[in-house]
Amino acid sequence: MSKSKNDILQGTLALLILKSLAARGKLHGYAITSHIQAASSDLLRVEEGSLYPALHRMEQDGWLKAEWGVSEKNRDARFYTLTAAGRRQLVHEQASWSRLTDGVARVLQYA
Amino acid sequence: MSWYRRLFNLTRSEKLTRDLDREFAHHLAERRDTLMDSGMNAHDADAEARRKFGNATSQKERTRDVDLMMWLETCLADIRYAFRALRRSPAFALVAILSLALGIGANTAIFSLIDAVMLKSLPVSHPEQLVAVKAVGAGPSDYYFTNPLWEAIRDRADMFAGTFATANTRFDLTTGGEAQQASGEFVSGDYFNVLGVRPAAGRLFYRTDDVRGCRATAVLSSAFWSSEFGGDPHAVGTLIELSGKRFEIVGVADPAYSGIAVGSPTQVYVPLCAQAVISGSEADLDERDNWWITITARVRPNVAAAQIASRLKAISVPVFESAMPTNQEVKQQQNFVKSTLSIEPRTAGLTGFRDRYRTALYTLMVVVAVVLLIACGNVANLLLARARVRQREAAVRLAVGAGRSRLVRQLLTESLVLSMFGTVAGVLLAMWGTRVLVSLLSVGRGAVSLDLTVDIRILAFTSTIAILTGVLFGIVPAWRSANVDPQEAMRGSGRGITDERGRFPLAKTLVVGQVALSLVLLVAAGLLLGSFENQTSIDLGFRGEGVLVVQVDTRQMGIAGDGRPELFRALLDRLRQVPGVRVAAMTGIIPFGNMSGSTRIHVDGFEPQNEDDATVWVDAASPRYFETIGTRMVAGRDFGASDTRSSPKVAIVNEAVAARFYAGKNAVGQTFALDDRGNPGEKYEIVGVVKNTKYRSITEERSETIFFSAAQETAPRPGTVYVLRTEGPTAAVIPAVRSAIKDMNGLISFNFNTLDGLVSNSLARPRLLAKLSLFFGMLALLLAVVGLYGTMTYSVERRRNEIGIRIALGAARTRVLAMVLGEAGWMVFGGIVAGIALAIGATRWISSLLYGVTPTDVTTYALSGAVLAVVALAASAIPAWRAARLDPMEALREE
Repeated sequence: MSKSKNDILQGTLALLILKSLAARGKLHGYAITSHIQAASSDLLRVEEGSLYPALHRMEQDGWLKAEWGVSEKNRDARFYTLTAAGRRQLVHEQASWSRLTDGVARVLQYA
Repeated sequence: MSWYRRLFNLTRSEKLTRDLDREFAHHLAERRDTLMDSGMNAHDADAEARRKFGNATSQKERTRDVDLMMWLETCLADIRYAFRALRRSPAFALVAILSLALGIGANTAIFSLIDAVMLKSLPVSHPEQLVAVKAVGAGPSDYYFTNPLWEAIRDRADMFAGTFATANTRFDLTTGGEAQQASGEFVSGDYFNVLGVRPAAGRLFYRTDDVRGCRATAVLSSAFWSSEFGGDPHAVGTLIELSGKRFEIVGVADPAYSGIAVGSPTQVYVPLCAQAVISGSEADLDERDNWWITITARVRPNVAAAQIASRLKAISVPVFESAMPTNQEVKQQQNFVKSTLSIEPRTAGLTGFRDRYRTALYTLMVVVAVVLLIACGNVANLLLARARVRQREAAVRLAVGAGRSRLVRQLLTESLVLSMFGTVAGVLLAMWGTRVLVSLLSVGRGAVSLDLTVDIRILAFTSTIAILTGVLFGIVPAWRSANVDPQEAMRGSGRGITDERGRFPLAKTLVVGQVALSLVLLVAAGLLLGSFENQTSIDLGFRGEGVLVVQVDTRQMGIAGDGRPELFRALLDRLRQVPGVRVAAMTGIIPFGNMSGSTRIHVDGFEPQNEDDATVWVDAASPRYFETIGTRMVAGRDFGASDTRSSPKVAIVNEAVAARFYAGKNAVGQTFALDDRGNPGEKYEIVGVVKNTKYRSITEERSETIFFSAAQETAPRPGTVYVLRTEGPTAAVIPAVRSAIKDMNGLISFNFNTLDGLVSNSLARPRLLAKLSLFFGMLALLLAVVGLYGTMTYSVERRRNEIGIRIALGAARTRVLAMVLGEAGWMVFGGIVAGIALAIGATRWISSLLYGVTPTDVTTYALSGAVLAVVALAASAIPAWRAARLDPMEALREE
């Protein structure tokens, strides 16, 4: 089975999480995966095994803030929101992503 | 991510695990809902959700440890790498570790002493509740009480959880003959109870053991019990002879408890009331002028200090009224009643030892800290040189993408590994060094026993300095290495023609600093050595060599006061006939023998300006005393056979008395009167004047002494001192003296000293301080010179090409020599100048330890500077010589 199809390029997960939170405000982990999946029209799927370590790391880097709350289905859930640092990081990562895709696109064109 | 968050994760991992569990549970539930919405049954949805989620535990671990593991792994890798790097250059590692071991070892050793003397608490329950009771204004010292005062306080001290009194003493363990002494303590009945000390055998004292007219009972210390009785449990209940009186051993104290005074252990405890048994009379216990007791109290945990103070104030007047000294003027009596009681913390035991050595120990602590600093300078310099050599390595690592902070961290790890090795070696050195130090502190009778077990404070101290030194000497070299420009470093082949900028001035600055610090230590050592020399070479007023001192004690004979003069005189006659004794005499007090007596006198025409003005030391001497100890008579006559109990009272004074009371007059023929409750009492005529003699110590401020005639004393004390000037070595006459005394009476106890020995004992502290500071000064010098040598060698090594070219172009070899020596000379000069400035500032702090030298003694500074300069230049002569003999062809070929 070709495994790479849905895998998210290393390093872009953080960007996706930041963007999701910027778009939707407060989200729990499962909602983040759903949002990414839905927003990418099922092209992208986030593996749990990457999501939680990433969330955890981003929280410790101070990009995210986490707090316990109750989900819409009345479940105990951990909600993440962007911090000011996270917002800055998003701008930064968005810019470098554009540069990367732009660059790759040009190379592909040239070839 | 910050390191403390990582630590936080490590310590709070339980909470974190719980949080992750909750978070994952939520995720699984949501996933299951989605799957069920798409038509899956509950069971399958559950299984599918789990399958998708993967191994929950490993997930959790990965999430939690993602950073921690990486951090730990890189740490381990760094440590492994550091070990490999050090193994590759064993000479570097050895020198660095040795330098650090000396520095850290010295620090740990001195700190253990400070810990044992200053910081360790008494081994009793709740030592923080113990306070010393003080009587401000009553006696000669705030900390000492008379027995009537103690009894008055004891009966009123209900504001305390308990109180007890102690008075130290020495017991003679033999019956007559050569004295064998045990350190003893008179204690009140509640002593062990209030301290919370348990018996190791038998029982300890109860309150009923300490009542007037008590039985003679004794408690032994565990150490004494094992040394004298082999720890035999049957010793309890048997009798022990203390100063000729029989005491029943009722018990043995807990081995952990060695007495209340840190540094001087007690061997035998007897109740306070047994003072009457020892002296043979109840009268001593009623004595209102004998200040021999210290009082300790245990405060109740919930009673405020103010409350205690007000209660103490309330009992002060009745206490002092009830124990009024008898021989005082009315005015003094009024003042006495106004004395106040107060308390002072006493957690670490009351000890004169502590006060005596406080300044000395703190001085040593600073000294060894400076030694460590110099050692750090050396290691930093070595690392700098190494960083130079490893520049390419650093450049390669940077070029392939290592972060600079990662590189700094790796190099710092290397420094810390070095300092750990240094610490382990240093602690081993310290364990040995501390014991040597304590044995040096124990001189003469003052055996010192300190609890030197390593405790948490010492461990904390040593690990702190280990880490601090590692960072201190490692940070700058590491920073420098990490900040190389990889391109430039790779391009340069490792050795330029000249490279004077950049890291080299830093190495030079370090050397200048080392030289400066070692000069400070050399100056301090010089000053202490000088003041010790001053003390040994000072004119004591007597010649101690060849004088045997025999202290005799007739208490065990039970001879009455008026029978003693006859006995003493007869014994003196016997001793004079001992072969080898040139001249012998008798005295009440021997200088430097820890004995003293003083009195106030009245002299017509002399108006005392204050209490102490008319106070003089006293002694009672037999004829030929001055001749025996070698004190010159400057006027008048010695005591003679004509001075008897019935003849007019006479006295001999020293020059200090003559100058103070009879300035401008001939003292011989003048009279003075003893002070009798503020009025002139018995009159004495001065028949002779002698040279000044030191009375108690070399550094004493006042030495005014009046000698009375021993033959005119009506009821002398039971002990006296014989001085014998011998023909040959003093030890040679000891057997004959011993049998002479035994022939006289078998119950006389006695001990031997030499006058020289007594003086030398009194110099133990300055001697020790001088020796140690000299040792550390030399150590500092050695370390600084090694640093200088290393830097110069390295400098010459790096300038091989330049020097080679110079020589090839015709520079004289002497010029090369001068050039290298000049470079070293500037560093040494700079260091000496800085060192002098530092020393002038720093040595003020030890002025209280100095005698006869000022902290800015020019000779000491000049000498220290000269020694430093000579040694330093000698060390740089080797690399300079090597530079001058360089073969230019060879040096240039290497390029």
